[in-house]
Amino acid sequence: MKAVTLQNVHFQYEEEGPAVLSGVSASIQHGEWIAVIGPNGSGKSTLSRLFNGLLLPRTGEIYINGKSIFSDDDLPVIRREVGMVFQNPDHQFVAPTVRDDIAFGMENAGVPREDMLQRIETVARQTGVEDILDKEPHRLSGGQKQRVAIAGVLALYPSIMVLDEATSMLDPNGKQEVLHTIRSLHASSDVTILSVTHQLHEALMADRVWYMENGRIIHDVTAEELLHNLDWLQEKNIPLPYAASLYQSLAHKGISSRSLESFLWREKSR
Amino acid sequence: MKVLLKNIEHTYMKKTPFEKKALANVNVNFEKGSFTAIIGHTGSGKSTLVQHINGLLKPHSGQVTVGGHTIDAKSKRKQIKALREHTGMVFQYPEHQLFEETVEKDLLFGPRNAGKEEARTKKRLPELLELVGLDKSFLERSPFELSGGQMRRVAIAGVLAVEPKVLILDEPTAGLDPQGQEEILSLFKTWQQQYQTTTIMITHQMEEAARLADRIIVMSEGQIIMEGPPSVIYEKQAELQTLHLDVPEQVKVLKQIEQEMGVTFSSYHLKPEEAAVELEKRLQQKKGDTDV
Repeated sequence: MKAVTLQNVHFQYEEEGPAVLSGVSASIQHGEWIAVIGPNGSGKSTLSRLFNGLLLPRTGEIYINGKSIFSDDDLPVIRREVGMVFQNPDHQFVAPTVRDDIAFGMENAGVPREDMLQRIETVARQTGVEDILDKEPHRLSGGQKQRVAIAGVLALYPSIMVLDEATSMLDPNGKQEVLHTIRSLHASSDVTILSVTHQLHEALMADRVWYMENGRIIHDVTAEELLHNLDWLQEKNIPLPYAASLYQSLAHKGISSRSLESFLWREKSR
Repeated sequence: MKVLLKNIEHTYMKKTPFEKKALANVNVNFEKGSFTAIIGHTGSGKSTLVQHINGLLKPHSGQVTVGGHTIDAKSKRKQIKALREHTGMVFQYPEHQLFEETVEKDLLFGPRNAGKEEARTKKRLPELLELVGLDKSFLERSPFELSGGQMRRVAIAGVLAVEPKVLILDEPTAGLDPQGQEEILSLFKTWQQQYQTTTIMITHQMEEAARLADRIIVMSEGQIIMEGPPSVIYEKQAELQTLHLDVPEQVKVLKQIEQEMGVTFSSYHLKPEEAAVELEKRLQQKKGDTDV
């Protein structure tokens, strides 16, 4: 059984409005990390909001761990299995302390107190927020806030985690912190990850990359394949980061550089 | 318009347990028509600094001069307002500040408040929209049905509509896709060159600073600790790293290749294609040397 199966998914916000997703079919294996890239308005965020039924497709089918998103009985289960982390770190807090905030989701889910304390400890360690559990969320840095948001999601033991541009509002250090957390989560657990991003170097950390355009997945490739096919990103006027662009220019000349390759993969090897 | 900051000090939450000195003895000038990037860690005082230039904050000591207007700790609101008329500020996520029913109404709001003649502003709107990459068909649309990138452009056009002499940009490209970032940055560069606007941009991204600014200011703990053209700042890799600031990716990459291949690039400002051509040439030279 796949973690996620999308079958010919169509979506538009309004009856007469433009199609936002027009025929998306794809699937994700358990424990896989998928990065979704593509220009603004290509449907990336909309797609990510279909995973736990925040939005429902107009036509087509979505199965999460084999359960249909259209089944009223299964939707509450799906909501628990799919955790979402959003872009804005300031929009995700409800409680006066980090500890209470992580507990909030579990209280709603009826997790017994003993369990809760245990889980808070575990997820705080996974996300590196042990030392700030008694702090007020609004006094934290952006990177800390997003890690707390991830901890709150993890505490519910999701099997799938969806990150919608979770690093795009952070400063460079905050980005690094959050990426490090996601990476170690990917390495140490079997949580399936879908991350929407604008950053090519973030996408290269994933196992597989979906490139979206006009509501469709145009390319579904491994990170390695993406790196060897930078030409088509450039043809689409997507500015490449310096290292990727240099890698491409050198490849055309038949020159390879070990240090450049390890720079491009730096996030993977670290 | 020239901007002068002299001995600026600012402390938040004075006389409380949360007291924090945000700016200490800051002295800096911004020449007419210059493009300056301000870089620094979160909490280094960047935003506090620029908020003095458009009169959102008053210095606790020292003086701010914008054109002919000077304000200090004792200045009255009316004096501060005069300073604000000349400065335009694009805040972080400016699209959150759109509020009118149509794009046209939103764009007219700022100039009306600044006392500009409405008929003239109206005539300029199509041109202004074109500059930010939209067309005049947007005038009748609601700003709230636009995409995030389009909303950002409308919000920026709203600031430019006032024709500020001094333009302050607080991370103007945050959250945009790479293509959108490019477009927004080149529009500010065009505007600055066309109108000789004194432009000050806060950014976390060294690459952005390198591309646009003729001068970079590095801040840490409420003070300016480095100031100079990009090429000079990037040579100070070790110092930047102690401040947890990164040198641009390209400088890092080219230095690593130099070490690996035993070559020297003529500059760290080469475009990727130029660097590739240069590297190929150097490698051929080296090969030639060993063959002889």
